[in-house]
Amino acid sequence: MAAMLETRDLTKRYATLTALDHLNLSIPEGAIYGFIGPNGAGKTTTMRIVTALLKPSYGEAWVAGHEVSREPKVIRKLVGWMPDTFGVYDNMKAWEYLDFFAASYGVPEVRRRQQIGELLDLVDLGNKRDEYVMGLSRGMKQRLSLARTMAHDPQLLILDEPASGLDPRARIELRELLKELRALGKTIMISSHILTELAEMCTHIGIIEAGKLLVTGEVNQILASLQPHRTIEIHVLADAERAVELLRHLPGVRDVRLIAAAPLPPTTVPGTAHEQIVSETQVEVLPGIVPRQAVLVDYVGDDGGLSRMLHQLTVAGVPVVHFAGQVSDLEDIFMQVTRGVTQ
Amino acid sequence: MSWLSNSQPVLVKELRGRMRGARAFVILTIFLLVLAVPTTLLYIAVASTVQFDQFNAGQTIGKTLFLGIVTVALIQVLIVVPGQAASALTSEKERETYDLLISTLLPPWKIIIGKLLAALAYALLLIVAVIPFMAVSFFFGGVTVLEVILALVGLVVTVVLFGSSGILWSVIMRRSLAATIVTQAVSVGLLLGLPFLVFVAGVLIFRDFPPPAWTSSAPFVYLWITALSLHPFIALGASELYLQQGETRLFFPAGENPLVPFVPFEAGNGVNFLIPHPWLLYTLEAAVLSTILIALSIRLLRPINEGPTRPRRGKGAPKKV
Repeated sequence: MAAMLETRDLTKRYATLTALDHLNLSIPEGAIYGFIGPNGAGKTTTMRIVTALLKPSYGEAWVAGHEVSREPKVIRKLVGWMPDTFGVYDNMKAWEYLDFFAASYGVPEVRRRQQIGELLDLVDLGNKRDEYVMGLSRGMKQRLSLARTMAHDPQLLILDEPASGLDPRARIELRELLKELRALGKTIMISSHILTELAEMCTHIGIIEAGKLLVTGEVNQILASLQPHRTIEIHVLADAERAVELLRHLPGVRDVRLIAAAPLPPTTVPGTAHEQIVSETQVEVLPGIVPRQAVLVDYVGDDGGLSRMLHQLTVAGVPVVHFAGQVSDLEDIFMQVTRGVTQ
Repeated sequence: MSWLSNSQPVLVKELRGRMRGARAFVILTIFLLVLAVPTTLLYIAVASTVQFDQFNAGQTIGKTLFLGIVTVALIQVLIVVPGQAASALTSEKERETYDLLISTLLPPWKIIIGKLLAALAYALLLIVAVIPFMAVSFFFGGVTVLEVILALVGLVVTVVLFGSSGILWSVIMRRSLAATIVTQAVSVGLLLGLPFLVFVAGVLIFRDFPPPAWTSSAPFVYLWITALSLHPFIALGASELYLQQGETRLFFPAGENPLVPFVPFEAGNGVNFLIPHPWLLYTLEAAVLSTILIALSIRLLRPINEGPTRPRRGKGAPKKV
């Protein structure tokens, strides 16, 4: 896949501080690239360089094959940038806001008239067309800002912390919107502190700390590369110690750990008038529900081995109620690769 | 409106923002009230002193009212316009829309001209609002059309010059308050500092009588009137005095100059050369200076180089890098 954005040894120095240190990243066309890092890591600096707002001290960045420093005008056509702050103009309506930015990007008036309606509909603000921007909620402003970013139909969207300060509903709406944009063929670079959110929508990630890119690539590949083995979580209703002994001697098992009572998934209580969902905290008071015990198994091997593992447990009469591989998420990766360095 | 929004989106946006809501009309109302009070007082004062001179009474009242109105309007425009222009770009920085604006495809000159035109459009509204006041003086007579045209030209030129200064400081500074203070300080520096410097220079140069021969030379005279004509009140005031002397030519021989303090040249020196009418010189100087200020603004318009900032006392956490 061709790279929509590529940087080579991108470096930015401020007096005594190196904000970016030989950053090399590549974002393929059509990807949603999560750019993760603590405050002061260099995310915004990278984004400002890529949007031709900041000159690098060293190195180069290309967007769709155009070098950023040499062709800033082309870059501005190709890139839609959404900063981490929402700039509000006084006395301006939602449609006027979009009209101004579309006009500033040279979109002819005839096209703008149609486009503004489409953009407002896309971000679900069609009914707010004549509302003053200042009167919109934060979530609506973010969506309007995203619509502004799309005003000139750019190929690459660079979104700096678009979800910060949004309530859960607004975040979910934003996430769905980004998925829609990806479906429209846009490449998206997004920075966020909310890693679980990025995990749900990103195809690629880059983790940056103290100006250095620690890891970059496809989410699945990174997950696989950072995990030397799979961890299998097994819940049993009884005989946990026996299960541990049994598992230790199976091929491919590196380590087995018995952990405290396993959390129960939400379940239904049969026999009640309305089979209601009960939570873990309610279990203790409900008769007939036995607490689980959990066993964690570090395993190196294929799925056949796992199948045999489950078979052995069942044959041995261990009451297994849950058998699944643990899924690592971005938080695990983030904690694994970063060292908490800030500048 | 279509071609305007296509070619000057910044101007359209600014006009929408400025003219919508009560603020623009409150300022206009205050402007007219401030103009009305001294005009009325001036009328009462002049009318009471010219009672005994029935023949020229109307003309005297008309002329005095006209000059009073133009002077007050000029002062007000000098207060309002630089302030408006000084916040043109700092307000974008404060609202955090500045980077968004300059990351569009608009070239810097379009942004600067759009901002300047918006400030000027508002000033023109104020100037147009003065015209009915000027018309009052016509009832009394004594005011020529040429004087009215020159007064309006003078107001517009002044607005462009001081507006351009405001725009430049708006590009340089980050905060509207700071930009407004610096712009007003520069304006006051010109309006008070220039006459003071000329006065000191005049005392030093013309302390002997007769003054040195070189003070009647063309280079010195040009330098002198160029310096004096940089001041809107002096230039426009001198223009009015020349008009009262019947001098309406754009250029006239220095030897025929009836206003020796303004042009330190007396007839009979043997050498003669043409000098421009003060309003013309002021217009030219203002045009050149405005062009320089606008060109500088365009050149300096660039993204805020947002490096790591040290936390200020009481200002919270440092900015993100």
